Amino acid sequence: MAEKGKIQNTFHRSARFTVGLLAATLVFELLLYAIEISPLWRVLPVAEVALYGPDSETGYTIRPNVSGVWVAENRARIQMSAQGLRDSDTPFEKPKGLWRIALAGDSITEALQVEESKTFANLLESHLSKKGREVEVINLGISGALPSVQVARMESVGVRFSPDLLVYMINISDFASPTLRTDSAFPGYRRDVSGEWRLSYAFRDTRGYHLRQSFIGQTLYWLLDHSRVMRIINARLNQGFGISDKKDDSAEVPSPPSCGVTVAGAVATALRQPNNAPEVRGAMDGFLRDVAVTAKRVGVPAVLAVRGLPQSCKGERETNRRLQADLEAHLRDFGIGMLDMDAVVIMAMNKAAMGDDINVLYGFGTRVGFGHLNHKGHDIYSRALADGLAPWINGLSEGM
Amino acid sequence: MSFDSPLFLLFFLSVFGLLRCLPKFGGIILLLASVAFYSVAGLLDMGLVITVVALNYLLSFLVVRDRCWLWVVMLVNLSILIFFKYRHFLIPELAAEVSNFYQGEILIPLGISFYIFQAIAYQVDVAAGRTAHIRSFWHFALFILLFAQVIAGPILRANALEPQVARAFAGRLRGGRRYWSLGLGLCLLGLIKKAGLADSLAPYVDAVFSLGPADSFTAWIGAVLFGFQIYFDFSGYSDIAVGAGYLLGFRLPLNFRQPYLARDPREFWQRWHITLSTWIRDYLYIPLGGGRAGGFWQQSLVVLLTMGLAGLWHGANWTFIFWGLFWGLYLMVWRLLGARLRLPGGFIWILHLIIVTVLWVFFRANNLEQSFDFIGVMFGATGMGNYTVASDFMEKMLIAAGVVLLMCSHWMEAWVMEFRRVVGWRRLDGPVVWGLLVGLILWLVMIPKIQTNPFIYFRF
Repeated sequence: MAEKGKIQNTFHRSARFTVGLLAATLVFELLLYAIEISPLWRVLPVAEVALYGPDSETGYTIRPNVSGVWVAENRARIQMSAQGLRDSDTPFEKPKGLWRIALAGDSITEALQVEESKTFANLLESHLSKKGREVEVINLGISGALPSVQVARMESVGVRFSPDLLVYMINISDFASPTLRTDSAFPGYRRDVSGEWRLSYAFRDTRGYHLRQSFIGQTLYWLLDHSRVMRIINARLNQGFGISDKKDDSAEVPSPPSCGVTVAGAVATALRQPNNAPEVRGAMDGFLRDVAVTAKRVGVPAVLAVRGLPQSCKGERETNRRLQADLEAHLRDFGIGMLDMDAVVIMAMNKAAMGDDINVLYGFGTRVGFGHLNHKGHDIYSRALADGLAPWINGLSEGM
Repeated sequence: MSFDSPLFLLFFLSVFGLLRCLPKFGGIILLLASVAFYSVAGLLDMGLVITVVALNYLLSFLVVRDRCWLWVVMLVNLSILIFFKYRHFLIPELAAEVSNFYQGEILIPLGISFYIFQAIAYQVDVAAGRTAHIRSFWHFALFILLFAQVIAGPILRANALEPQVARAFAGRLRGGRRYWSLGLGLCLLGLIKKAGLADSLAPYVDAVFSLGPADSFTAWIGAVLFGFQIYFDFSGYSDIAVGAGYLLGFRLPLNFRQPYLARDPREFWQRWHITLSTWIRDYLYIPLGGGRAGGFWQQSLVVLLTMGLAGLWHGANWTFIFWGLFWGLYLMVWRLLGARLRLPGGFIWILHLIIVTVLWVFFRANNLEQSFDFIGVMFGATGMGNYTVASDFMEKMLIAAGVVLLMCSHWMEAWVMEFRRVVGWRRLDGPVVWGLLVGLILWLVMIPKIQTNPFIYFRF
């Protein structure tokens, strides 16, 4: 009898303890919600928005209509479009007389660290309109997008907007990245049975991909969209539970190209001596072929805006100039235009009397020189693109 | 292992569970847990703290026999402290390593200032017969190493902690359900202060002091926010330490009593880092002749010397020494003029807050030149950098409202911590409240870190 009473007592106590735990979860959820809707979101802890979901063409994609607060590097309110873009809602159908640029890129283009109205994609529209051209820029940028993902995203989403110009923001080092040739998480270039380098989609057969596509996965995404506590759990799972908490990695990476760093070296070798770097050359040519095919099918020009060719490194100027010339010539063979992004950025900085230290365009607060573009950086990038893309835009205008 | 990490939560729950299951082995469990906890700091740090424990344990037998050995104890402890903490200050070639005190790596062995001070106080008390000599090495080791307080205090006296250590080894710890809510409540309060507030203010304070304030408003906001950041950070740590102590069956003293509610410098030091303040009073100020006969100037000299040394304790930098000296000066001036001031209480409080805020600049700046320049900007000099916290009037108003909210949190904390209210809330004690508090602690610990902000006092 006494034993039974003891068990009952323990049960009641555990039940009441669980009620307390659930109440704490509810209180925490409400607290995070209250912070997010008040001006305190700029300072106090918030649950960072979870943006990405599975996609059969690009491996992962921005889920449509997701909104929330981005925290890393600099806080910004995020509202994704109904088409799953870091952009305002834009109908696929193009109004008559409107010009469109489809801009593919990685996290630099996606620009989660600033408000949507301050991204260079958005500012580019107003700079071009000042130049007398009403242009709409479709921002296809998505974090971590290597050239393979960019071309797949352009093909699956970008062309649906009937663009007049296709622009790919590419980091030169991406061509040398082995990840470009792996397809376990997103499409990658792999040699097929005929020896051709083509996009490969092995990620479609992974358990993770199937789980995310399943009912369980969709339920988890629903929870992430509706519960801030779930977002906290998700973010903590991504960060880990280790002894020392990981810092935000992206804020630790010096973003502008550094002198002495020869990541571009492998690309130079692939261009001049393809037999010495057959895999780099193969994946690169596979990507360029796909870019050209897409452009030809849509009937518009394509431009690669290439970042990562250091401009002001003494002793490296000649090497970089040669690499740039080789790359430009190679792209020309595919019918693709090239824009040396860092060169036009420095020109825009000079115009704005900002010197030529590209570091000041990256990072926020005490982390200037690291991570992603800051507000100044977006402004300069938009001016640089407005100038740099002018030849292609002019060409198009003549065709009108 | 930081108190605000999931790993510490797991570690603490394991120790708590073991203590509940095996209360007879309380002392051994706590000693092993403390060694495990500290070993995360690294082998060098671990070796040093064990050396300090062993040396002090052996020397205490000599001190009991002859008080003259106290000089040797002082020499040994202070030599260790000077070598590991102040060599960068004394050897100019090493100074560059600590050029960025608040944002660089922590260079000193973890908690060295705290456990050395605790050891010195113990030896002095033993020599003076104020506390019993601890004869068991394991008891002495736990007295120094108890994981709840080894890294950043509270600095404990042997006559308060030793009996509790003895009870732990005798399997009679005072842990009990009636203290769980209190312990959990203090842990929660500490985590709110650290994870919720101090870490949120840190990026803004770092930016103002690293990039330099462009205008007076930014400089004032930077200094005020730092005052709150360091309060939330350190008092948060102390609250968790005291709360963890309650859960384990130890009574540790509160280290802060809402210092920004003080209306004069004396009261401030009775509310700020209380265990260090009383340590300095008992083992520095009084032995130097403070509070005894002597003219105003003699007493003032003692105050200046004491506060200068207290500043130096915080870190090997002239900024800390000047911070202490200016505090000494402020205490002297207050002693001379405080009673004669015929101003409304609220006005005196605001005046005092302004002085405290200005003095924090010395504490936070990287060097003296930056301190004086920064204070100059606060009072209207040309901006020394390009960082501004607000670009328009509305933003300034929003930030000012935020500062008022921070001050309100201070009042609210005073209200919550009122003794009779705490006693009243204990009536609500029970599993639902435990679940609520544990749940909130869990969620606060789960918040991912955007940047690593170790507790500031780990640097001291």
